[in-house]
Order: sequence, then structure tokens, then C-alpha cells
Amino acid sequence: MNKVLFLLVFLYSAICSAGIDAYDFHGDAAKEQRFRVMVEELRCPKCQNANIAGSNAPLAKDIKDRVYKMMVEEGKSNDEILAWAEQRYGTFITYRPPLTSTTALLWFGPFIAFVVAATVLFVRVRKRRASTTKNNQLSEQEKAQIESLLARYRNPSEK
Amino acid sequence: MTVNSPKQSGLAWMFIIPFILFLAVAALLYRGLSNDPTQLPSTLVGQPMPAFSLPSLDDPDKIITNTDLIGKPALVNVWATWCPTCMVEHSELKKLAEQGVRIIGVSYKDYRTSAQAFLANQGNPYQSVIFDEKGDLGLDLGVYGAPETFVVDAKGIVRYRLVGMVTVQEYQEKLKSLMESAHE
Repeated sequence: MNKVLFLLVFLYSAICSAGIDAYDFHGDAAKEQRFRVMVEELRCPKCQNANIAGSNAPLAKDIKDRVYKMMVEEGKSNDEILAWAEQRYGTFITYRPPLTSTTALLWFGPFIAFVVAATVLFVRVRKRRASTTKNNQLSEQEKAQIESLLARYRNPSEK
Repeated sequence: MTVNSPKQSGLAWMFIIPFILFLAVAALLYRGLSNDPTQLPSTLVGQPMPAFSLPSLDDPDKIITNTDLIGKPALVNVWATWCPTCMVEHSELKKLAEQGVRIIGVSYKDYRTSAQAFLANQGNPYQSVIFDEKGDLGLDLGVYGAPETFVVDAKGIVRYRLVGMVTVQEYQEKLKSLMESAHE
């Protein structure tokens, strides 16, 4: 009985399918690769935190179909397809935003922050090294203060 | 007894500058709290309606094109029967239509019979309805979530794109003036 059950479950799993779109590239592996890269670098405008390759929103499917059509049937270049998408959905649709005055902070910000932090650290370490060698010598006043404290410690009864 | 610290004022700046930076970033982020991050700006604002030539919902032989929109300002409302918000928006659109607002519908990726039946049963606020069965016009408009309403002025220039439900109040406060003013 268990064997029959197992067989039934096993056979049932045969009908499940992964959600893979069947796009025919007519053997053109280069185009297929271009397509794969492009759909992974376009954002789904509906979900916004998924790319159109991974999104199952109907809009993502529409855009994927259109990208396929433009790339394979119309032979458009990557730039032309990106221009098509950006004209309709803005630069937000691409995961590689163009370098403009508004996105400059996005592109260079981390690098700038790193340089600032490194500079600050470097300057501080240098300053501290310089000041420790200078302040290593106790002043005469400090020597006298230490002597009197030690004397008090040795002879607590004295004031 | 104090330690000799000639750079004490410098040390203060070590703390003050990052704190000021923190305040600046905090202010920016606080302002961002009231923004809706899912709202995308439309690339069509200031541009003419994209060219299209699609059948009308009622009569498959009648073709509507973008030139038909020019002449009077209009609200172009993208809707579908599979979109629950659109169904709620419908009553607001009927009120606007009664006030004399010209509303052109775009039946977006819907079944012709469902859309026709809905309008027959619930009333038709649209002067005409474009049947965008495959969603091609939707793609050209940059539609990413129904319902969406585009405010188009008399010259056929898109002035504004609203994502979500149109209300009579929204129309009075914002859309009306945009529709009626000419694009500079």
C-alpha cells in the first residue's frame, strides 16, 4: 500500500512545471545571453524590488515579451531597447542608472565616504603619534605632584 | 590635574561635523517618510499622448487614434474589470461625467464582453472607450498599475499622471486646473 502511495505521489510530481518562459532564439546563443542579461537588469515597475526576469507580475511578462520581440524579431540593439524602456518608465526601470548630476552622489558617494574616513583616520593616527612622543616627558610640576602622592601612599598617616 | 591637550578644539570638531552630517541625513530621511516610494513619476508629463490606433470597445470596426483626443481637454482613464480599485473608482467617474468632464476610457488587457457588460450594467461615464486588448497602449503610456488616469489638455499634451483612484475631490483640487490651462 505504501509503495502504491509513493508511486502515485512520485508520478504526480511529474506534472509540476517550473515557470520558465519558452522563448525561441533560433539557436542564436549570443542573443539569448543578451536577453538573459537584459531582463535581469530591468526592474519590474510594478513590484519594484524584483527584476523582470524574476517577477511574475503580468506587466513584467509584457515587458519581457516586448524585449524579446525587439531583440529577436526586430533586431534592435541593447541601447535601443533600453531607450524604449526608459522613455516609458523613466531611468528607474534600469538597475544601472545613468550618471547625471542627481545620480552622481549615488555612484560616487561610497567612494567619497571611504576616502574621507581614511583621511580622517590617517591624520588622527599621525597626530597621536606626534603628540605621544611630545607628551612622554613629564613636566617638573607633574613629577613633584607624583612624588607627593607616592609619599602619601607610603605614609598614610602623614598629611 | 589636567592632561595637556592642545588639540582639544580640534577634537570637538571631530564630533560636531559628523553630528551635523547626521542631522542633515536625518532631515532628508524624515522628509522621505511622507513620500510613497512606489509612486513613479511619469515620463509623459509635458509630452503629447503617444501615437496609437486601436479599436473602440463597443464597435470593433471603429478605430480610435491619438488625434481623436485633440480639441478638448480629457481625462484618459486606464481601467479593467479585473481591477477592484477600478470598480470602486467607477462611481466617482460617473459623478465627474455628470459634471461634464470628458473622460476617455482605455480598457486595459480585459475581455471585451466583460468590459461591455460592466458598462452596460453599472453605467458608462466614458465618452468613448479604447480597447487595448494586448496592453500595447498601456506599455507606451508607462502604465504599471491600474487604475491610472492621465490628464490631457486640449492640445493633446499630457499634463499629469495619477496612479490610483480618481476622486471628485482630487479632480476639483488638482486635475481641473491642469486640464483647462494650456501648456506653456
